[in-house]
Amino acid sequence: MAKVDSWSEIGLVSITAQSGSAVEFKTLTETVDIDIGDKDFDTIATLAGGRVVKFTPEEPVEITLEAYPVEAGTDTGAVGKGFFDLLHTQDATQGVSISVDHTRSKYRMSLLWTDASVATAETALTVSGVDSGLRIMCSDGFFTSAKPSFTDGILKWTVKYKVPAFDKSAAANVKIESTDGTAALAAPAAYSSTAKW
Amino acid sequence: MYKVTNKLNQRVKLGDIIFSAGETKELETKPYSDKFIVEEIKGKSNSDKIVEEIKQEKKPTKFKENKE
Repeated sequence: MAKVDSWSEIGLVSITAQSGSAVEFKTLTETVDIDIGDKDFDTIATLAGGRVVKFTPEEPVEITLEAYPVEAGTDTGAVGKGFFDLLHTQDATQGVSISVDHTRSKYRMSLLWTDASVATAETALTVSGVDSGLRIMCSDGFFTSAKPSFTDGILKWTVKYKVPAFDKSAAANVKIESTDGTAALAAPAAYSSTAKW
Repeated sequence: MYKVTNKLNQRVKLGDIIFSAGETKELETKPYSDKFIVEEIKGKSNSDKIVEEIKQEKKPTKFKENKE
Protein backbone atom coordinates (compact mmCIF):
# COMPACT_ATOMS: atom_id res chain seq x y z
CA MET A 1 0.00 0.00 0.00
CA ALA A 2 1.29 3.37 -0.96
CA LYS A 3 2.48 5.66 1.79
CA VAL A 4 0.46 8.63 0.62
CA ASP A 5 -3.30 9.15 0.37
CA SER A 6 -3.09 11.33 -2.69
CA TRP A 7 -0.70 13.27 -4.85
CA SER A 8 -1.40 16.93 -4.28
CA GLU A 9 0.03 20.43 -4.45
CA ILE A 10 3.48 19.69 -5.80
CA GLY A 11 4.88 17.76 -8.73
CA LEU A 12 7.69 17.81 -11.26
CA VAL A 13 7.70 18.48 -15.00
CA SER A 14 10.82 17.64 -16.97
CA ILE A 15 11.35 18.22 -20.68
CA THR A 16 14.27 16.59 -22.46
CA ALA A 17 15.40 17.26 -26.02
CA GLN A 18 16.63 14.21 -27.92
CA SER A 19 20.33 13.71 -26.97
CA GLY A 20 19.99 16.41 -24.32
CA SER A 21 19.52 16.31 -20.56
CA ALA A 22 16.39 16.90 -18.48
CA VAL A 23 15.29 20.49 -17.98
CA GLU A 24 12.94 21.06 -15.05
CA PHE A 25 9.92 23.33 -15.55
CA LYS A 26 8.15 22.94 -12.18
CA THR A 27 9.21 26.41 -11.10
CA LEU A 28 7.29 28.04 -13.95
CA THR A 29 4.31 25.73 -14.18
CA GLU A 30 0.95 26.16 -12.44
CA THR A 31 -1.21 23.46 -14.03
CA VAL A 32 -0.70 20.24 -15.97
CA ASP A 33 -3.50 18.56 -17.88
CA ILE A 34 -2.87 15.12 -19.37
CA ASP A 35 -5.31 14.06 -22.06
CA ILE A 36 -4.52 10.39 -22.54
CA GLY A 37 -5.76 9.30 -25.94
CA ASP A 38 -8.89 7.20 -26.12
CA LYS A 39 -8.65 3.55 -27.06
CA ASP A 40 -12.15 3.53 -28.40
CA PHE A 41 -14.24 1.22 -30.54
CA ASP A 42 -17.36 1.36 -32.68
CA THR A 43 -20.03 -1.30 -32.89
CA ILE A 44 -21.63 -2.66 -36.00
CA ALA A 45 -25.12 -4.01 -35.54
CA THR A 46 -25.73 -7.30 -37.28
CA LEU A 47 -29.08 -8.56 -38.57
CA ALA A 48 -29.30 -11.08 -35.73
CA GLY A 49 -29.30 -8.19 -33.26
CA GLY A 50 -25.70 -8.79 -32.24
CA ARG A 51 -22.80 -6.34 -32.26
CA VAL A 52 -19.44 -6.63 -33.98
CA VAL A 53 -16.72 -4.53 -32.39
CA LYS A 54 -14.61 -2.39 -34.70
CA PHE A 55 -11.61 -1.09 -32.79
CA THR A 56 -10.40 2.49 -33.28
CA PRO A 57 -6.60 2.92 -33.12
CA GLU A 58 -5.40 4.56 -29.87
CA GLU A 59 -5.46 8.35 -30.08
CA PRO A 60 -2.42 10.58 -29.38
CA VAL A 61 -1.71 11.91 -25.88
CA GLU A 62 -1.81 15.68 -25.38
CA ILE A 63 -0.33 17.40 -22.34
CA THR A 64 -1.20 21.04 -21.66
CA LEU A 65 0.81 23.23 -19.31
CA GLU A 66 -0.13 26.64 -17.96
CA ALA A 67 3.06 28.41 -17.03
CA TYR A 68 4.55 31.79 -16.19
CA PRO A 69 7.97 32.12 -17.83
CA VAL A 70 9.67 35.49 -18.14
CA GLU A 71 11.99 34.55 -20.99
CA ALA A 72 11.50 33.42 -24.59
CA GLY A 73 13.44 30.18 -24.21
CA THR A 74 16.08 28.32 -22.23
CA ASP A 75 19.59 29.31 -23.34
CA THR A 76 21.36 26.91 -20.99
CA GLY A 77 21.01 25.03 -17.72
CA ALA A 78 18.81 22.40 -16.09
CA VAL A 79 16.05 24.85 -15.15
CA GLY A 80 13.57 25.89 -17.81
CA LYS A 81 13.23 29.58 -18.62
CA GLY A 82 10.78 29.71 -21.52
CA PHE A 83 8.77 27.67 -24.00
CA PHE A 84 8.90 29.29 -27.46
CA ASP A 85 12.17 27.51 -28.35
CA LEU A 86 10.49 24.13 -27.85
CA LEU A 87 8.47 24.75 -31.03
CA HIS A 88 11.32 26.17 -33.07
CA THR A 89 15.14 26.37 -32.92
CA GLN A 90 16.78 26.65 -29.51
CA ASP A 91 19.04 29.65 -28.95
CA ALA A 92 22.03 28.98 -26.67
CA THR A 93 23.03 32.59 -26.07
CA GLN A 94 21.63 35.68 -24.41
CA GLY A 95 19.81 37.68 -25.71
CA VAL A 96 17.65 34.82 -26.71
CA SER A 97 16.07 35.30 -30.14
CA ILE A 98 13.70 32.69 -31.53
CA SER A 99 12.17 33.07 -34.96
CA VAL A 100 9.44 30.84 -36.28
CA ASP A 101 10.83 28.16 -38.58
CA HIS A 102 10.02 24.76 -40.03
CA THR A 103 12.06 22.80 -37.47
CA ARG A 104 10.21 20.00 -35.69
CA SER A 105 12.20 18.56 -32.81
CA LYS A 106 11.43 15.49 -30.73
CA TYR A 107 11.11 15.85 -26.97
CA ARG A 108 10.51 13.59 -24.00
CA MET A 109 8.22 14.87 -21.26
CA SER A 110 8.18 13.34 -17.78
CA LEU A 111 5.73 14.15 -15.00
CA LEU A 112 6.45 12.91 -11.49
CA TRP A 113 4.56 13.02 -8.24
CA THR A 114 6.64 11.77 -5.32
CA ASP A 115 7.25 12.14 -1.61
CA ALA A 116 10.99 12.12 -2.29
CA SER A 117 12.99 15.29 -2.66
CA VAL A 118 14.32 15.05 -6.19
CA ALA A 119 15.57 17.59 -8.70
CA THR A 120 13.89 16.36 -11.87
CA ALA A 121 11.06 14.08 -12.91
CA GLU A 122 13.65 11.76 -14.44
CA THR A 123 15.38 10.92 -11.15
CA ALA A 124 15.38 7.36 -9.77
CA LEU A 125 13.29 6.63 -6.69
CA THR A 126 15.15 4.24 -4.42
CA VAL A 127 14.06 1.56 -1.99
CA SER A 128 16.69 2.66 0.52
CA GLY A 129 15.09 6.10 0.50
CA VAL A 130 11.65 4.43 0.76
CA ASP A 131 10.40 6.79 -1.87
CA SER A 132 7.00 6.29 -3.45
CA GLY A 133 5.94 7.98 -6.63
CA LEU A 134 3.96 8.01 -9.85
CA ARG A 135 5.56 8.94 -13.16
CA ILE A 136 4.02 9.58 -16.57
CA MET A 137 6.50 9.50 -19.44
CA CYS A 138 5.99 10.40 -23.09
CA SER A 139 8.74 10.10 -25.65
CA ASP A 140 9.22 11.20 -29.28
CA GLY A 141 6.54 13.86 -28.97
CA PHE A 142 6.38 17.37 -30.39
CA PHE A 143 5.36 20.74 -29.00
CA THR A 144 2.43 21.89 -31.07
CA SER A 145 1.38 25.11 -29.36
CA ALA A 146 2.77 27.89 -27.14
CA LYS A 147 0.34 30.75 -26.69
CA PRO A 148 0.98 33.74 -24.43
CA SER A 149 -1.96 35.64 -22.94
CA PHE A 150 -2.23 38.69 -20.71
CA THR A 151 -5.98 38.66 -20.09
CA ASP A 152 -5.62 38.22 -16.30
CA GLY A 153 -2.99 40.93 -15.91
CA ILE A 154 -0.16 38.42 -15.80
CA LEU A 155 1.67 36.94 -18.75
CA LYS A 156 0.65 33.29 -18.91
CA TRP A 157 1.73 30.75 -21.53
CA THR A 158 -0.46 27.82 -22.49
CA VAL A 159 1.80 25.14 -23.94
CA LYS A 160 0.73 21.93 -25.66
CA TYR A 161 2.81 18.83 -26.18
CA LYS A 162 1.46 16.02 -28.35
CA VAL A 163 2.73 12.50 -28.77
CA PRO A 164 1.42 9.60 -30.87
CA ALA A 165 0.70 6.45 -28.86
CA PHE A 166 3.22 4.48 -30.92
CA ASP A 167 6.13 5.23 -33.25
CA LYS A 168 6.34 4.00 -36.83
CA SER A 169 7.74 0.66 -35.64
CA ALA A 170 4.78 0.22 -33.24
CA ALA A 171 6.97 0.75 -30.15
CA ALA A 172 5.15 2.47 -27.27
CA ASN A 173 5.70 6.21 -26.83
CA VAL A 174 3.80 6.53 -23.57
CA LYS A 175 4.15 4.78 -20.22
CA ILE A 176 2.95 5.31 -16.68
CA GLU A 177 4.90 3.77 -13.81
CA SER A 178 4.75 3.87 -10.03
CA THR A 179 6.23 2.47 -6.85
CA ASP A 180 4.67 2.17 -3.40
CA GLY A 181 8.08 2.47 -1.76
CA THR A 182 8.86 -1.23 -1.56
CA ALA A 183 10.70 -1.30 -4.88
CA ALA A 184 12.90 1.13 -6.74
CA LEU A 185 11.71 3.10 -9.73
CA ALA A 186 14.66 3.35 -12.07
CA ALA A 187 15.62 6.58 -13.76
CA PRO A 188 15.03 6.52 -17.52
CA ALA A 189 18.01 6.03 -19.80
CA ALA A 190 19.45 9.05 -21.56
CA TYR A 191 17.04 10.07 -24.33
CA SER A 192 18.41 9.41 -27.81
CA SER A 193 17.16 8.43 -31.25
CA THR A 194 17.49 4.77 -30.18
CA ALA A 195 16.46 4.97 -26.50
CA LYS A 196 13.06 6.35 -25.54
CA TRP A 197 13.64 5.72 -21.79
CA MET B 1 40.23 28.16 -30.76
CA TYR B 2 37.50 25.82 -29.65
CA LYS B 3 35.95 22.77 -31.27
CA VAL B 4 32.25 23.17 -30.56
CA THR B 5 29.81 20.31 -31.16
CA ASN B 6 26.04 20.56 -30.91
CA LYS B 7 25.16 17.61 -28.70
CA LEU B 8 21.42 17.78 -29.33
CA ASN B 9 19.62 15.90 -32.08
CA GLN B 10 18.11 19.15 -33.33
CA ARG B 11 19.08 22.55 -34.74
CA VAL B 12 20.57 24.98 -32.19
CA LYS B 13 21.42 28.64 -32.63
CA LEU B 14 24.51 30.18 -31.05
CA GLY B 15 24.07 33.87 -31.65
CA ASP B 16 24.05 34.18 -35.45
CA ILE B 17 25.64 30.76 -35.99
CA ILE B 18 23.30 27.85 -36.63
CA PHE B 19 24.39 24.31 -35.76
CA SER B 20 22.48 21.44 -37.29
CA ALA B 21 22.03 18.25 -35.20
CA GLY B 22 25.42 17.00 -34.03
CA GLU B 23 27.36 19.49 -36.15
CA THR B 24 30.88 20.58 -35.13
CA LYS B 25 32.37 24.00 -35.85
CA GLU B 26 35.61 25.71 -34.83
CA LEU B 27 34.99 28.94 -32.98
CA GLU B 28 37.28 31.55 -31.50
CA THR B 29 35.07 32.22 -28.49
CA LYS B 30 34.02 29.60 -25.96
CA PRO B 31 30.24 29.09 -25.72
CA TYR B 32 28.85 28.75 -22.21
CA SER B 33 25.88 26.48 -22.80
CA ASP B 34 25.21 22.88 -21.88
CA LYS B 35 23.81 22.29 -25.36
CA PHE B 36 27.36 21.99 -26.70
CA ILE B 37 30.44 19.86 -26.15
CA VAL B 38 33.42 22.20 -26.12
CA GLU B 39 37.02 21.09 -26.65
CA GLU B 40 39.92 23.53 -26.62
CA ILE B 41 42.18 23.16 -29.63
CA LYS B 42 45.75 23.05 -28.39
CA GLY B 43 48.10 25.69 -29.72
CA LYS B 44 47.82 29.38 -30.16
CA SER B 45 44.44 30.94 -30.34
CA ASN B 46 43.69 33.52 -33.02
CA SER B 47 43.70 36.27 -30.46
CA ASP B 48 47.21 35.21 -29.28
CA LYS B 49 48.47 35.50 -32.83
CA ILE B 50 46.96 38.94 -33.24
CA VAL B 51 48.59 40.16 -29.99
CA GLU B 52 51.95 38.85 -31.19
CA GLU B 53 51.61 40.57 -34.55
CA ILE B 54 50.77 43.87 -32.86
CA LYS B 55 53.83 43.53 -30.56
CA GLN B 56 56.08 42.95 -33.56
CA GLU B 57 54.71 45.96 -35.36
CA LYS B 58 55.29 48.20 -32.34
CA LYS B 59 58.96 47.34 -31.74
CA PRO B 60 60.80 50.56 -30.84
CA THR B 61 63.03 51.85 -33.60
CA LYS B 62 66.67 52.20 -32.60
CA PHE B 63 68.16 55.54 -33.47
CA LYS B 64 71.89 55.93 -33.86
CA GLU B 65 73.39 58.51 -31.56
CA ASN B 66 74.42 61.65 -33.27
CA LYS B 67 78.10 61.97 -32.48
CA GLU B 68 78.47 65.49 -33.77
